[in-house]
Amino acid sequence: MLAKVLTSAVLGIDAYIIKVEVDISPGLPAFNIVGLPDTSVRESRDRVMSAIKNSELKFPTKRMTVNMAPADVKKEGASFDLAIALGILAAHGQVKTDKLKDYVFLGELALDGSIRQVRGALSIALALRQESIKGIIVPEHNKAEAGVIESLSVYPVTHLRQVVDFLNGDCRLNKFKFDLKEAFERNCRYDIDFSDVKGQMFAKRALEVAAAGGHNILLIGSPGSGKTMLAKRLPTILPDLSLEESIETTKIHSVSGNLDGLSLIATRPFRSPHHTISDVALIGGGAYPKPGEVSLSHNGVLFLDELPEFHRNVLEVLRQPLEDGVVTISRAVTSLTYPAKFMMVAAMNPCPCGYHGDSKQECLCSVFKIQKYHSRVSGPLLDRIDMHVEVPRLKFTEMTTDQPAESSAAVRARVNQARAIQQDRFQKEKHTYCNAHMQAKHLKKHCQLTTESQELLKNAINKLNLSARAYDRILKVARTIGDLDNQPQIQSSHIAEALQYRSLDKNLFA
Amino acid sequence: MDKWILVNAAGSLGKARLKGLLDFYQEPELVLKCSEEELLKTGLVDRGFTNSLRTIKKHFDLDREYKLLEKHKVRIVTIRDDDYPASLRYINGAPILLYMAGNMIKEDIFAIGVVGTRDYTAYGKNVAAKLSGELAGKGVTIVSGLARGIDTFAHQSALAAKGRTIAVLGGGIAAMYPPENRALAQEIAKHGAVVSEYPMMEQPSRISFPLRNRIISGLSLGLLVVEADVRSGSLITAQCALEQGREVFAVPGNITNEYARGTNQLIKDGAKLVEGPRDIIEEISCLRELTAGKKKAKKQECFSFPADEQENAVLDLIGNEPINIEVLGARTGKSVSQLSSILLQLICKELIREMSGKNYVRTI
Repeated sequence: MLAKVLTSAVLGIDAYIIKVEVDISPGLPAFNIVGLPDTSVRESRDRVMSAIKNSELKFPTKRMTVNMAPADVKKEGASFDLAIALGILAAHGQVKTDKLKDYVFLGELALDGSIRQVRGALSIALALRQESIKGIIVPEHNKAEAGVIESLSVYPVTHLRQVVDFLNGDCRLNKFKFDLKEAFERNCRYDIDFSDVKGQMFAKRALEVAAAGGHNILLIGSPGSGKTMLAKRLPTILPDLSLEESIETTKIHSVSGNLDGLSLIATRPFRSPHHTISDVALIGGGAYPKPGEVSLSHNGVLFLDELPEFHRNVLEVLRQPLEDGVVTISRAVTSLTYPAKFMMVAAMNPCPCGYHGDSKQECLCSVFKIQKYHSRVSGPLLDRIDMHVEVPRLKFTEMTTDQPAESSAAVRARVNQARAIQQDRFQKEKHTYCNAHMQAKHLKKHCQLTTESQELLKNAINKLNLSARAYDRILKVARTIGDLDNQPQIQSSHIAEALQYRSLDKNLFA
Repeated sequence: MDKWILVNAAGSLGKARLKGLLDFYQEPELVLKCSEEELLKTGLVDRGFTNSLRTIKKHFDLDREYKLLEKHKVRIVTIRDDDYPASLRYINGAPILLYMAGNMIKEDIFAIGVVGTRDYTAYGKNVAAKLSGELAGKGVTIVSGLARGIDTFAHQSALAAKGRTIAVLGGGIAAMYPPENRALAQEIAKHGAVVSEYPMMEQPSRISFPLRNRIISGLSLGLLVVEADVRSGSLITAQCALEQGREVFAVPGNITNEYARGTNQLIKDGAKLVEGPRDIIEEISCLRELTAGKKKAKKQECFSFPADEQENAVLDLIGNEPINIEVLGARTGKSVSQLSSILLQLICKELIREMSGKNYVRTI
């Protein structure tokens, strides 16, 4: 007897349908899986055998061949267990086949027949939206993410026996009901707020500018000055996530399996990998490619604390995604693209001991040591960071001002307004959404300076000893400050403020 | 000239003794002719010297030396020549000849040596640059050793102030050390001189550096030590200066800064504490006369950029102790963008300076 069951697998962040074909023929008992299965798929033989036995069903003692089509793509993971088990039972006549072709089955089997969660349920549900099927059978744990696709019927299940009974018409499955809007609104709140940070008005203003223009930013400050605290609150002042962005982000997290029962990620992600991270973990890849930290921070913030401590090769691979907004992973067999549109926030100490410029503690580093420390961050990477901002450690008395700190919502309102201006500005451009993405031609068009501000900039560059590469970046940031100010023309005060955000160019540490 | 080069090359490790030998024999030719036993009998040299003289006589490549002299535009000035620096001639152990790229002029007699650590702090860099720049601007020639760190800044700021500067090397001029200062050396040769007592290709050694220090102090009327550890070459130079009867000046440092221990020690031992160029000039009478005329012109320039009312309000809060932008914001009630404009204007007018950590101080 031959049986066919549909299941699905993820390649990159998109899913494709897999047909599981099971043939049972007389002969010596055997159980073979073909169609480029990897170890975890091959091991599903043992899981399927035990699960069937422990669900009060019969495991056939005949010659069984399982084929997974398309046969030329490598299969990985344990999410085909359920489909394989059902295929065997159908081929053996224990399950009726009439309903089988109308559903797609996902699930990893435990030895007792219960069904465990899988990765990439959202991607799979998205891919199935177009297919002519009646619904998708998913593990209970994955129902929320699959339910995000409202046009698809989602049936959560907990046990193999439950599925068998459903197919045989002995019981009904309950369709999972999901309110997308309600979930989106419920999830789009942050636990932290900008007003948690006392004082630091300069650094906060810098973050506001960075958020408004999508500028990558480097925070430089002594230990304990609040760099991490500030960075963590950056997502809360970024523009609200749209539903499409939210689904896109959730998809990536779903594929890498760290959604943890959450239906939808409606807040901007904040990822902060440790500085010992490898290049593959940061950028994505591996024998079975997985999205890296840059993709997990898609539409959000990637925070690199202790920037100079990262391995050099790790920082160098960041350059492509920072430029293109995507990561392309090329392997001999295939080439995958993961989205990676993120804002980079990096943090570092001003010097190896950490106390250069600190009011309380003396810095013990010689200039040579400081230069060596700074040179660990390469020029090309620094070129992609528009703003360097010093975050000084504050005295207690300076932190306890009477002025109430602004809430994230208030700052976000200004950011949204500035972004709206930018959207208007770039509506005809491709791949340019905010000021940070401006190329040389855009600068010429949108960042014209008056003679007065040109004079100021020229004078300042000479006086402050700024390097030439700073020039374009100052223009971009000044444009953003102008947008926050709702001014169509860049004013000299905007240039003056933009100059404040180029600390590393000013030779302050040597 | 051959004989001069050969005798000078032989004394690579005992250059200070050559002067005595020359005084005794009068002509280098005689030194070369004498047998080793005769030389030893004078008691002026040791066996190390006679050994090296033997090797030099056999192996020294004079042709190559002349080619290098031509290539690097270097000439040799012996102690008998008229353009041998007068101040150097009468020091103990004066070099019998100098390799010189560029020129020394009569006014180079008004020279101050500026030396300091290679492993400097930002404070040392600022002070070295400020003091040498101002001195050079007043017509004082800055003498230093072209080493990394303080020496480099002394030369650079003297050049930037369109003044004269002299670099004394611890190795041959063709074997430039440190190599990154090659361009600087060429610049110095145009506005002063690069001098060395070593054959063109001789590599510097740990003995040659202390030896060249006697030339730095010898060429100068006074020696300014900017930043130095207690066991550093700069203190050896200060010792040389004292032996040669030169004034020693030192810039005081923070007592917690290990690179300032040497200079603070010097001050304890009686060196003059320096806060500005005036402290040096008033101590040396001929410098007083040199700089008397130039002082007034400088003063007028300082006040060509008055600050406006708003700027003055901020400027009043900024003193000699660094003050943070946060504090300025809290005290003035101005927003970051307003403050940024004002601070930038003040910096452009050179009334204040930005330090690390978003701190601001008045310029000195």
